[in-house]
Amino acid sequence: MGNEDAQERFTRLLIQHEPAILRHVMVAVPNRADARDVLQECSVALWRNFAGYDPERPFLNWALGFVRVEVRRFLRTAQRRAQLTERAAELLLETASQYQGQLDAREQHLRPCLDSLPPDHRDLIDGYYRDSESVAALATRTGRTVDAVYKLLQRIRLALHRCVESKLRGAGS
Amino acid sequence: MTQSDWEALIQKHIDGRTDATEAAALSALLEANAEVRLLYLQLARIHATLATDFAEEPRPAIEPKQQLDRTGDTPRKRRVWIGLSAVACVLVISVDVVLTRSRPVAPVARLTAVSGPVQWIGDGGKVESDSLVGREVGAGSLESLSVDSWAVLEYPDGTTVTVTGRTVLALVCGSQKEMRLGHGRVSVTAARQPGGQPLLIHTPTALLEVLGTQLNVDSDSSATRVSVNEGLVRVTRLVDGTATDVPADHQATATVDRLAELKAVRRSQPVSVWRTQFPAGVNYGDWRVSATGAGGVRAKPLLLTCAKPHPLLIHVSSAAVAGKGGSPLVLSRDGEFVIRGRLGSTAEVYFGMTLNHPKGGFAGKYIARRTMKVTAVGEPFEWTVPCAELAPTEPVFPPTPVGFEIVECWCLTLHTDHGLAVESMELRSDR
Repeated sequence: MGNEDAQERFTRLLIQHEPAILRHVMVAVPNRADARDVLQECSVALWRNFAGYDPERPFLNWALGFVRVEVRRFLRTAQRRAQLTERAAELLLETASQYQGQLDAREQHLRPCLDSLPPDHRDLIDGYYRDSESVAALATRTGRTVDAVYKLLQRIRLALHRCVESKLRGAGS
Repeated sequence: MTQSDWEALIQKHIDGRTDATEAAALSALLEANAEVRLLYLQLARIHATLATDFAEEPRPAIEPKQQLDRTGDTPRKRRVWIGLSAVACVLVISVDVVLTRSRPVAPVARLTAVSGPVQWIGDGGKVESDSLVGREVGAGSLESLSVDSWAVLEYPDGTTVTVTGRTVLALVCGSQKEMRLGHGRVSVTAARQPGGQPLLIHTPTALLEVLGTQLNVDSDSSATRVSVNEGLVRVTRLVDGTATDVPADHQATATVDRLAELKAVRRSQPVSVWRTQFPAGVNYGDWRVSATGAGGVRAKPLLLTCAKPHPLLIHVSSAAVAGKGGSPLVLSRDGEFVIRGRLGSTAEVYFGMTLNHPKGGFAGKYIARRTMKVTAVGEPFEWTVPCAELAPTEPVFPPTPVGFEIVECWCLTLHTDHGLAVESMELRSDR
């Protein structure tokens, strides 16, 4: 495999798997900006080590090893906000690998649950996640306090969680 | 602790609102209890999926009745509501990542110049970085990936938008010109816009309404700095809806702090000396203090996958530039930069800058390079760069940077990590 081929192949694989890698990073580093910093460091590490990648193996599984290293490194140095301990993050990433199938299956049910949200809840989720509106901006737009917006976001995510649980139970029965 | 206590603590952490004590308590729970770990993963996965997969889809059209109450009487609310209902194809685009879209979109502008690693993410989430000059673009995201990259968009009415440095700009397809500046720097020269249809620039902290003017905007997650050279721009701060009009030769900063005054202030007289005040002003890189108490901005890696002819790994430290009191910094003929820093190994170091025309838009990028030899890890270096050594990165730029306003300076190394840490950058002048 020529060097140019390797670079093209790496770029394609990285673009293809970036959302899944980011989701794994966000387990231990939930803040989106922080998670993107970790993802950038991961991309660099993956590129540096790409010569050692066995194309017979799934790229994502190979990449997740680097996620653990970079998450650990980030948690050691991050000072912007309170973080989990390295041990807790490590256990979370291990558990995530263990339950990967189940977590992926839950994701299949998230779409219908999202579509069933009341319009104002859906609008808030769209504003926060899709449009990257700050909570302060959402508070201004919706006439709520910042605390109320955070509480509502939490309630909506919990409602989505319960909806997914209920759909899983329905699918299993 | 009950399950609902766990849920509340986990959710608070997901939103980045736990303090150190709460984060430690949550960590202890996660370490001790497999049930809490699974619950955390399920909730975090919803958050992560919403922030990645769903964030990459176009916002569905929403009937007016389904909207949140946007009929309140503040100008901002009214404008957002009118804008949303009037726009035929509101495609709100994630400004961060590769997108997946299914609908074709009409072209709204054309890329007329591109330099360095720049990519366009448009219809269907396809990432394009080849032959972008001349490309017509519709709704999508223009990403300038490196400190030395830039691109120019031109609308049919002659309005031009220049993105420079590390910038993400999403174009919205609609009945008026509308864009979202995720982060970075744009320079806009707007032709006169139709009445009632100003050019809209959304940033994380402000909404800018432009009728016909020349302005420069610099934005991150906490502040938007607007500098107007011609015409008038209305700036509305999102945190509380406060608005102010910024006339020519004035500037304003809209932050997330509602206690800060949002006010247009006249631009100060230019100065010709400057020194970084790290850790303030770091655009890219990590501020670190060594055991000896010396501080430096450690260069951070940036992998430019769309660099030509091959992906390129660089390590960058960059800093925003402004003179005392926000005065513009203008490079004089006798000006010279002094860069002080440390290296882990001998490296070719690049020093570069982004310039604007005096009271105008983007003027060019200039660069100098030197091989810095060190004999020990962490050895300090001092590099003096007379302005005569600074060369334009493209032949279209003026041959000399003298007389232009400097808005950003950076240092970088290529390929491997040479442990570059920049302790200070300084512009000296006898004038």
